[in-house]
Amino acid sequence: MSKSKTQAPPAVVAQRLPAEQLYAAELARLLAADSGARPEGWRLSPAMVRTFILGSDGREVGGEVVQRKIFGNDDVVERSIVTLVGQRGLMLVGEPGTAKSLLSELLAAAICADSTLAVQGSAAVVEESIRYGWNYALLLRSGPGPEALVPGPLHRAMSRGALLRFEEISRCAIEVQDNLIPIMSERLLHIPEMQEDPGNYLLAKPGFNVIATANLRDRGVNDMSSALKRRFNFETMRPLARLQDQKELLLREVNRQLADQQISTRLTPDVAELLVSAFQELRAGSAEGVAFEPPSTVLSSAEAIAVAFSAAVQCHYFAEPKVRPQHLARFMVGTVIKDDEQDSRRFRDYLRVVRRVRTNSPQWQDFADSQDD
Amino acid sequence: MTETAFDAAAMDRLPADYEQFPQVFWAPVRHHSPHCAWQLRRLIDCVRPDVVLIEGPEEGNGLLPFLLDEATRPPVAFFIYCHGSAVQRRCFVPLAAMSPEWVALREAKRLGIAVRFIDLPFMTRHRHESSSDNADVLEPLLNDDQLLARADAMAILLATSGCADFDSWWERHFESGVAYASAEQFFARVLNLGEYLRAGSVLDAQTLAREAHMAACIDQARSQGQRCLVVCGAFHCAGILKQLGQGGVPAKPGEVAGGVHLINYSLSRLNASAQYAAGIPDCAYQARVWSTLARRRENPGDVHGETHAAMAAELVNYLRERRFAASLPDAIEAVTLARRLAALRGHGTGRLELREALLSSLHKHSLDGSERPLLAHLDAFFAGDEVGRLPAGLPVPPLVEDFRQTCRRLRLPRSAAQPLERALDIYRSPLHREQSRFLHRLASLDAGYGKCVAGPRFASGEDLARVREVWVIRWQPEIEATLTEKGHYGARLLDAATARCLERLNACRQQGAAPVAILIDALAMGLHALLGTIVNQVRHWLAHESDLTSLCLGLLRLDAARHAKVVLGGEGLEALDELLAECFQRICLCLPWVGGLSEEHQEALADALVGMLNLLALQTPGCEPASFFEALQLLLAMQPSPLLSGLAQGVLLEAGHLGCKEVVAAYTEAAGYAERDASAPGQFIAGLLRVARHRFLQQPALQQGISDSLQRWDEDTFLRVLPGLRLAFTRLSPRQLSTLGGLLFGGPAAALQAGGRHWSVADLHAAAELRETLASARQVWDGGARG
Repeated sequence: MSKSKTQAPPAVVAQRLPAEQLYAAELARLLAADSGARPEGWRLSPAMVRTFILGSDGREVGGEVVQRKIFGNDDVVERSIVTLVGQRGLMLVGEPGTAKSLLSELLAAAICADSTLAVQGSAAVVEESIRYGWNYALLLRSGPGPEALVPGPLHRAMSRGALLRFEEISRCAIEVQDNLIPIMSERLLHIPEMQEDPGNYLLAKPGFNVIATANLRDRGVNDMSSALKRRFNFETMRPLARLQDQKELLLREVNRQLADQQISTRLTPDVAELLVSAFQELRAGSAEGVAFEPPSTVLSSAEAIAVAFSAAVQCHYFAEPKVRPQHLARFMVGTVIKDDEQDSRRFRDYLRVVRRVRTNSPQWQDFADSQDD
Repeated sequence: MTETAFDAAAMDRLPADYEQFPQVFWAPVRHHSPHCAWQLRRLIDCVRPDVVLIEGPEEGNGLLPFLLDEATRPPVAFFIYCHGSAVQRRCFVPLAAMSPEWVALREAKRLGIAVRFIDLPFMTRHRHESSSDNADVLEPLLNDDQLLARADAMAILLATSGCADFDSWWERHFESGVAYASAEQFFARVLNLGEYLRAGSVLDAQTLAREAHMAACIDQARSQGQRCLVVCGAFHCAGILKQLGQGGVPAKPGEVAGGVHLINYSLSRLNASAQYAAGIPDCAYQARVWSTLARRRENPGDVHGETHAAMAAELVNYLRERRFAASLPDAIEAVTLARRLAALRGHGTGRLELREALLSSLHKHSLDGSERPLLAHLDAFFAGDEVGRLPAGLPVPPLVEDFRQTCRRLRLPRSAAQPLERALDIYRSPLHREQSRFLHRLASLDAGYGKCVAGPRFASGEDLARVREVWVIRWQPEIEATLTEKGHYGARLLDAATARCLERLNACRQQGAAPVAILIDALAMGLHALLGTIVNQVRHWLAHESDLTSLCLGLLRLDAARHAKVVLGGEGLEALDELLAECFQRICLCLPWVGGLSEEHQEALADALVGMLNLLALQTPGCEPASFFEALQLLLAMQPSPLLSGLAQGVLLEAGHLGCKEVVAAYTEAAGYAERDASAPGQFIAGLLRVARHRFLQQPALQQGISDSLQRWDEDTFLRVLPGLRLAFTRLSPRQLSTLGGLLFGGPAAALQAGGRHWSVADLHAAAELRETLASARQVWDGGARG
């Protein structure tokens, strides 16, 4: 994610800032320049939300050009924005590493200036994690009441008219997921512990909606009920198809992360191109017309960024002059291939093919030489 | 010229050149565009010309009274064809309800205005065609938009606009995106688009000839003092203008034989052609837009919004009939989403937004291929299945009339319906046999009426035990169009099928190919009058054919024909047995001299020889075993390929003409070539196992002989030969492989004991050594050892 040159440094020093804080200055400029009609509860108009996420195509908006933050899925972004205007939720699906969570965060930051109303789905998530809980000391002292109620992300989103982000919703048990069904239908959260009317329910304010993300084909995911699916519009985030887009994203993100960490090592375009090419070939199971068995692991842009970043950090801290392809291959074993012995074998087969078919390329030979370690 | 050049001020006026001809009014269109049709109707009403001149082949003028008949309902099409010794062309000119040309015809009729088609006669176009024009297109359309869509300049417009393709761009600028104050403004913009796309395009001779002809026709009307409204593709306006007033003369029709007919057409057919003809997609959607626009004279209103609401609701019912989960809330969500999406994108709601919104609201999974069934439903729904209607009294080609009457007599479908499956008992039921012949005749003309999905296949000798033919039959308007096209074959189906057969026979004669398959087809079609002619040609082919593989295949087909004759009846086929015997003898004479065949031909010959062996086994008359075996022995003497050698050895072994020792010796010789040709041992065994599997399993001497040769190879040779051997042993079934394994390893391997789970230290050392040896041997597969 890029920062504007004139953007004031954020007040909070943190490892990672939420999008609405990271882009606070940019969002303020867009707000000032926004003359479009806004749905009730929205901070920006849909057109300005689009500009924030997809960039301004070189035009100045509010005095500066807005950088693109999501690549290759313009139509998905547009449909996501207009979905959130309505009553149905937005379900972002797709392969791992296709920027679903990033888009979810950016949408929340732009629409309601709060991307922190989030639930991370897992098997351990229970209802209370999503809706509300209780301060048991106050509960015992005063009984169930507003003071004792600890609002969860859903309660806060409904009461403020903001967006609830539900990451990896399919990792939750189906019973937990289905808690959203009455919320999405009636826009009403029951609080049966509060016996007095109207305190025993919460009505969602205008602007409330839910953005969920899911990897539907991953291991360890649960089915979603048809009733829940009907309350969402599904949008699929596609992996970047063009090599040039992947390379551009990789260079931008890795070098930005390195700059944030005050690391002087940088990823060069030729090495970036090699890495994205390797990823593409591993996904396809073919290199220069030679077929091999592709690894079963995910090979997304996010994984490529992680590999390149790790390699650059290693070079910086272990006094290597620059990032070489060999460094990338070493980190691919740990970052991408992980612990599957079969995938390790497949990756070594790929390196052998590379060594055999690219004898005239020193870069690729350097990449393949990692199998000697 | 960039996207921004389409500013209203610049594009809302005709270029100055057009003012030279004030009595000519221009209506440049995109074919089948509903908004073009609507604006055209407005223009005609406003201008009230003396004549409306439409881009359409002049041949269509003769059928105008039928086209203008009140009973005629689109979609219909002109079907025009010409054929001669050097020319074989056909084309379709579809007219749908939303076609500007159709609207022009109807509006002219309503206002009492003369109307005619002015495009170059189709039958003269071959003079200007390049060989690649529509060479591989199944249904060439005359009224297409390829010139617009594929112009180089269009690519620039797409790049600057961010639109994915020509359809998206057109939709945004002319269908749903922009409101136009007047028809003049609309057509001025379309004309300027045509001019822009034409600049820089390379114009072919046919386009120029057409424009010259159209200009000459306009000049004729002008010379009579008529005010003309010209309805033509936007690309052509500049070309026609350039040739106006040049004194051109309309081209005269050529002397090529052909015809023009008005046929029924369908929206699905028009939709299917949209892809290659750059036509308007989703024809049912376009037709619906038109049906709403047609009720409005001045203000289109929110025509797309209304269309979306109606079609989304109908789509839900359509999907539910097909057991797809969809509900009215999905439709409501889709319509609302489409509207918001268009607003976000800054233009009017259109077809594309509706499509995107439907997918978002209906598909409840990721786009990983699981959306294909839904997309197929959407495509079919938006394509439509509306069929046109023709007026009474329209001349019907005799072949079509014969088809209709035969369908009536044989009680077969004659109108659009779902596909119907019929099982025909061709052995016992005369009615069914007649239906079978009728369907086979139609199939020979590629009419598309019926498809045989099961039944005895005499040509390939498969499923001969079946006693019923199963056909899937479906009437579609395309069938009558196809029969209209094939009308030059004959007036009756019997005549047309016979003529088609003769055509195939002629082609066979010219190519020197075997005509036996035609004999079988003729039997299936009941073309008894033709059988004698075909048999004579088979005789002629047999006398001149020298290719062994063709002879073998011909023999198998002759046997199939003999079998078919018994089943299907046939006269004049007494010579079949004699031909079969003659063919067999010729094969036996040629067999020893086969040499230098490619691998593909060797496989085909091996298959053919197995077929011959089956004929012998069935004691087919004319197939003398002695001749065959003698030929095989001579073949072996000529040192054939390992595959044929193994096969011949196997046949002779089975027949008792060779013993195991000779076969083993032959194999040993083939195995000896392993270092030069690693595939030789495997091919020999493959040939042997094709015909002598059981004998191989029953003869320990054979197995031992093969085993011994394996032992003689070094490791490298064995590894190279192994793939071929593995492939060869796939001829054995899993049970046979298990039996063989038991036979082989029951002997020498009996000493190997499972040993339970107790391994000695020595065993472990041996295993480690073996692993290391294998690891280094694998280097061979990994592209060479490390340097």
